[in-house]
Amino acid sequence: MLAVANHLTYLLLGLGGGAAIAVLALGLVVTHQASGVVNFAHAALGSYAAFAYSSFRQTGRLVLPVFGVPDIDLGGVPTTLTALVLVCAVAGLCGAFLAIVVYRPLRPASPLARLIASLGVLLYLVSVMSLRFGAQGSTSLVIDPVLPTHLVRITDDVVIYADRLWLAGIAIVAGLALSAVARFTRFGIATRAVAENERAAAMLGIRADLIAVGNWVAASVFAALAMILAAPITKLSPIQSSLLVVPAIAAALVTRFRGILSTVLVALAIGMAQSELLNLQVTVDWLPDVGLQQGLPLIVILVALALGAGPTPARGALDTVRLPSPYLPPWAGAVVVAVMGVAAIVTWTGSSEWRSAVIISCIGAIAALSVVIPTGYTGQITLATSAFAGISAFTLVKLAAGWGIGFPWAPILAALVATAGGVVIGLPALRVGGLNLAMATLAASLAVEQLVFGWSWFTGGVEGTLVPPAHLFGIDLDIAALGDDYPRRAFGLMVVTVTAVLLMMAVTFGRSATVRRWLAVRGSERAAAALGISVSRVKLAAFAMSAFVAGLAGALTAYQRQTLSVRSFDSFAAVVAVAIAYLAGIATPLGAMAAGVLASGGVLTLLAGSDASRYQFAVNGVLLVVAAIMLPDGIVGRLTRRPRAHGTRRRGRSRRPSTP
Amino acid sequence: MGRTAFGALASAAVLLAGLAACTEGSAGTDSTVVSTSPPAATEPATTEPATTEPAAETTAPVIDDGSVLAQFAGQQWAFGTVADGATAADTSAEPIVIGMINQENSPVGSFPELRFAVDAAITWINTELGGVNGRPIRLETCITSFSVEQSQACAQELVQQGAVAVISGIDITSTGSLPVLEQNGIPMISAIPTTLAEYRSTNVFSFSGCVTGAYVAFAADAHAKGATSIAFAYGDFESFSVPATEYGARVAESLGMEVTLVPFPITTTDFLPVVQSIIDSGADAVTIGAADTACVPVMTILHDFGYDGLQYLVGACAAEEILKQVPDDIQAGVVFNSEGPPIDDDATPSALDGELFQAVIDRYATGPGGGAGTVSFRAMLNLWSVLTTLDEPTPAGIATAMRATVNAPSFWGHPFTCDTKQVPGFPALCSPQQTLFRLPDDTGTVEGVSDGWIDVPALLADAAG
Repeated sequence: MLAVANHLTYLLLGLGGGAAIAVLALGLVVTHQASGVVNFAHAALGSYAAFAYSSFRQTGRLVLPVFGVPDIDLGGVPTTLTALVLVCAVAGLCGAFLAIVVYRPLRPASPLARLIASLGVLLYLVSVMSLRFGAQGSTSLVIDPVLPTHLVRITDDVVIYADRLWLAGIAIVAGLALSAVARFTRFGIATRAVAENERAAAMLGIRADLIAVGNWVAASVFAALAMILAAPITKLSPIQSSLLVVPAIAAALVTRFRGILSTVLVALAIGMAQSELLNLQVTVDWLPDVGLQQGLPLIVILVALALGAGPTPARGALDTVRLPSPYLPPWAGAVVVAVMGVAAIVTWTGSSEWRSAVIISCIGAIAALSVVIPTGYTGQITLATSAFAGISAFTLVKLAAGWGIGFPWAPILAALVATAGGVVIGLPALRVGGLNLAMATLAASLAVEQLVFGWSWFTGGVEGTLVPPAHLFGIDLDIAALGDDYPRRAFGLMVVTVTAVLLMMAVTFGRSATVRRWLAVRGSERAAAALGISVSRVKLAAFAMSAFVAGLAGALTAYQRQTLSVRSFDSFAAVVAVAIAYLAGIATPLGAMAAGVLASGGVLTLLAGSDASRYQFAVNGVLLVVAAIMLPDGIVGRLTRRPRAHGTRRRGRSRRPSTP
Repeated sequence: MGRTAFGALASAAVLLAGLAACTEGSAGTDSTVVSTSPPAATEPATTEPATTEPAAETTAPVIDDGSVLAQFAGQQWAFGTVADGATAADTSAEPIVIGMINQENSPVGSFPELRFAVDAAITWINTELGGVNGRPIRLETCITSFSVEQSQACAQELVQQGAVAVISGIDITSTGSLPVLEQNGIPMISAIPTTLAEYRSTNVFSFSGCVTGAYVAFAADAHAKGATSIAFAYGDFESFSVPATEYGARVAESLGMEVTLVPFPITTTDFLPVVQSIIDSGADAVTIGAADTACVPVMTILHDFGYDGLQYLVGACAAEEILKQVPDDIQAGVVFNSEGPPIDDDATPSALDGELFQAVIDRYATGPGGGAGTVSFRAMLNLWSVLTTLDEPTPAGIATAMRATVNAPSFWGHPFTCDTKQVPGFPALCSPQQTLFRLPDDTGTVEGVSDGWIDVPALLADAAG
C-alpha cells in the first residue's frame, strides 16, 4: 500500500507541470484548427505576455512587443485585473496581427511555409523578451501570482499547492468549454467546417478569414492567460518558457490536433508521467539516469502515432496548396561545377578565414541537400536530419577509434548506419503526412537525442569524444594545423570534392525517371498509386537517401569540429537547417548550395562580418516570415523560374495541389 | 540567419545561470560588505607578485593626479602595495595582444559586462599600472553568439591577430575555440568555464572552482555540522551532473555520509516533484544545482514542505533580484557559496580589491562592468600579474608560467595554483577554494558560515586517498 501511495503522490505532484502544458496545448489546437498552423510561437507569445504582466505590475509600464514603440505608462502600478485585461488585450491584438498579416497570405502556401513563418515569429518574440526584459528572465522580475498559492492536503501523504490544482481545473474546464463552443455554437461549427474543408465552408458563406482571426485572437489571449497563471510554477525565461511549446505540441500530436479535451488529458498525463519517472529514476537502481523523463513520452507519442493514426486527410483549402517548384534549369550542372570550382580555388589560395567559411558552407550545403531530397522531391517534411547526422558522426568515431577503420570507409559505413536510422524514423511517413509528419520526425529526433545520444558508450557521454583525423593515401586530411595553415588545405579540398560530387549526383538524380516517380507521389499519392508507383517504397527510399546524405554531413562535421559531445547534434539544429534550406530554395540542389552560403559561419557570415547586432535574431525572425510569404520557392527558386513555352497561356492557377 | 537554434540549447540558458556558482554571489560582488582574512595555508608564491611600482626600464611619466591608484596609495592589495601614483605604459612600445572571446547578443544570454570589465582592466593597466613592464596591452575582442562555428572562427581570428593569450568571458560553444587555441599553443584564461571541455583542458586556466568547488564545500560543511546524509539534486546537464556525481557525492561518501542523487530534466516545468523526492530521501542536507530560475521555487517549496535539514544553493541564488522574491525567514535558512574572500575578516591583502575594482570600473569602463564582470576582471588582473614576470610574453611562456604558479596572489580571490592537480580531472580549475555565507535577516547583513576558506583540493585528495 505504501508503494502505491508513493506512486500516487508523484502522479499528483505532476499535475502542475501537466496543467501548464495542457493550457498551452489548448491554444495550439485552436490555432491549428483555425488556420492549419502548428504555432511554434504560441508559448513565446504567452511568455511575452507573462513578462509584460510581471513587469507592468512592478513598474507600471506596459512593454509592447515592437522595437522602437515606447512603453505605455499608466503613471502608477496597475491592479491585477487592470494588468490582466490590458496585457491580454495586447496579446489579442498580436494574435489578430499574426492572423491577418502573417498567416492570411500563407493560406495557399504549404504547411512548411507556415511552419517557417511560425519559427520566424518565435525568434522575433524571444528576441523581444531577451532585449526588453533581460535574458536572465524571472531572476530580474518578481512574478506576481494570480492564483492562490496555499498548500492543500489531498491525502495523508499528498500535499500540493492550490495553484497547481486551480490550473489543472482551469485546463479541464477550458477544454470542456472550448469543446462545447466547437460543438454547439455557430462560431465553433464554422471553425470545424473550415478545418475540415475550407473550400466547402466558403461555399456555405463562411468567411474563413474572420474565423481565423477570431480563433487567433482567442488562442493568443489564452496563451497569455496560460503563461501568466503558470509563471509562478514554471518561472519565466525567454527561451525555456518558449520551449514549453514542445511538450504542448507532443500532447496535441497524440490527438492529431483534433480533440480539445483529449489533448488536455494527454498533457496532464505527460506531466504526471514525468513526475513519476523522476520518482522511479531515484528509487529504481537499474533505470538510466539520463533522458528517461524527456525521452519516454516521446517514444509513447511515436508509438501512438504509428499505431493509432490513419492516413492524414487532406485539408481542403480555398486556394491550391503547393510546395516550392522542383524545376531544375538545364544549366544547373554547369552552375554547380562553376561554383564548386571557385570554392576549390578559394580553398587552395584563400586565407584561413575564407577556407573556414568555404568548408562550413560546403557542409551546410550537404546538410541542406538532406532536406531537399525528401521535402523537395517527395513532399515529406522531415525535421530529423540532425539525428541522422549525429548517429553517423558518433558511429564514425566508434569505427575509426574503436575498430581502426580508416577514411573513406569509416564515414561511408557511418552514413549507412544513419541510413538504417532514416528508414526507421521514416516509418511514420507511411501513416501520417504534412505537418503531422514534421512533428513526428521532430519527436523522433528528440527521442534519439535523449535516449541514444545520452548513451555514454556510444557518444562518450559527458566526457565527449575525440574524432580521429582522416588520412588517405598518405595525405593528411586532418583539419588541424598551426596558425594561418588552419584549416588544412587538403581537408578543405576533400570537403569541397565530396560536396561537389554529391551536388552533381543530386542534379543528375533530379532529372532521372526515379525522381519523376517521386514527384508524382509529391503531387498526389493516390494518383501515383493508381499509376502503379509504390508510395511506401518511394517515401522510405527518400528518407533513406536523406539520412545517408545527412550522415555524410555529420561525418564531415565530426572531422571539422575534432571533438564531439552529447550536445553536438541538437534536434533544433535540424529545424534551423530546414529554415535555411527553405529560405534558399528547398526543392532543388541549387537551393541546397545556396543554403550552404547562408549557413552560420559560412561565406555570407564572413562577408557580412562577425559583429552581431543586438537585433540580429529579431531581424532573422522577420526575414523568415517575409521569406515564407514572399519567396515560396526560395531565393534560388525565384532566380530559376521555368520559362513559359511560347504560345501557351496559363489558365487560372494551373499547378497541381499537393499536401505534404 | 545565424545560429538561430534558440532552443538548441535551452540547456545552455540553464547552464549559464547555474555556472554563476563561479562568481562571488551577492556577498562577493557587493564591495560594501566584503571583508577578508588571510588565506588559510597559503605558501609564498613562486611567481613574483607584480607590484604597481613603475618598471625600471620605462621612462613613462608619473601621473599622480586623480588616478585610481592615488586614492589608495600605500594600502595593500592582492599584488602588494599600491603605488603612490600612476605610471602609463610606453605607447611607442610594441603592444602585447590579448584576445577575448565573449558571448553577446544571443538569445541564450548576452554578457557584455565581462568584456567591459576586461576592457576597463586593460585601460587601467595601460594608464596607471605601467602596462606589462612598460609595454601596453592591446585587447582584440571577438563576439560569439551561440555558435560553435563562430567560436572556432573567433579563435582563428585571434591566432592571426597574434594574441599571446585569450580570455574567454562566457562562451557556451567554446568547444569550437578550444581545439584551435590548443593546437596553436595559446593559453585560454577562462573567466567562467561553461563546458566540461574547458574544465578538462590543460590549456585552460580558471581562477575558480565553479560548481565543483561549491558541491565539495557544501558536502564538507554539512558533514561538519553533523549531517550523516546528503541529497544532490541537479539538472541533467553535464556541467551539473559530473560535479555532483563525481566530486560532491564522492567527497560526501568519503566523509561517511549517505548520498542520494536526484537528477531532473533541465527543462523541468515544476520543481514540486523534485523537492518531494529530496524530502523522501530523508537526507539531513540538500544541495541543488540548477538554473537561477530554480532558486526561488526550490527555497520556497523546501520551506513550505517543512524540510528542516541543511540547505545549500549556489551563490547565483543570492543575487539581490532573486532574494527579494523570497521571504527573509526562508532565505535565512539557506547557505550559499562564494569565491570572494571570507566574510568578517579584513586582514587579507585582497581586502582592498573590491574597492579598487569599483573605482576602476567607475573610471575606465565604457559600459556596465559589474556583476559577472568581477570574474573577468580578476582573470585579466591575474594574467597581468603573470605577464609581468616574463621578459618576453609568448603563448608558450605564459602557459609555462601559469603552470608553475603555486599560491600566486589572486585579485579578490583565493591564491591560485595552476598545477592541474587542484581538482583531479578538472585541470583548468586553479583556485577551487570556497567560502560559505548566509543572510540571517532583512538588514542586508552577510554572515560568514565557513571558518575562512574551505580547502577543496585537500578534501578531494582525502576522498581520493
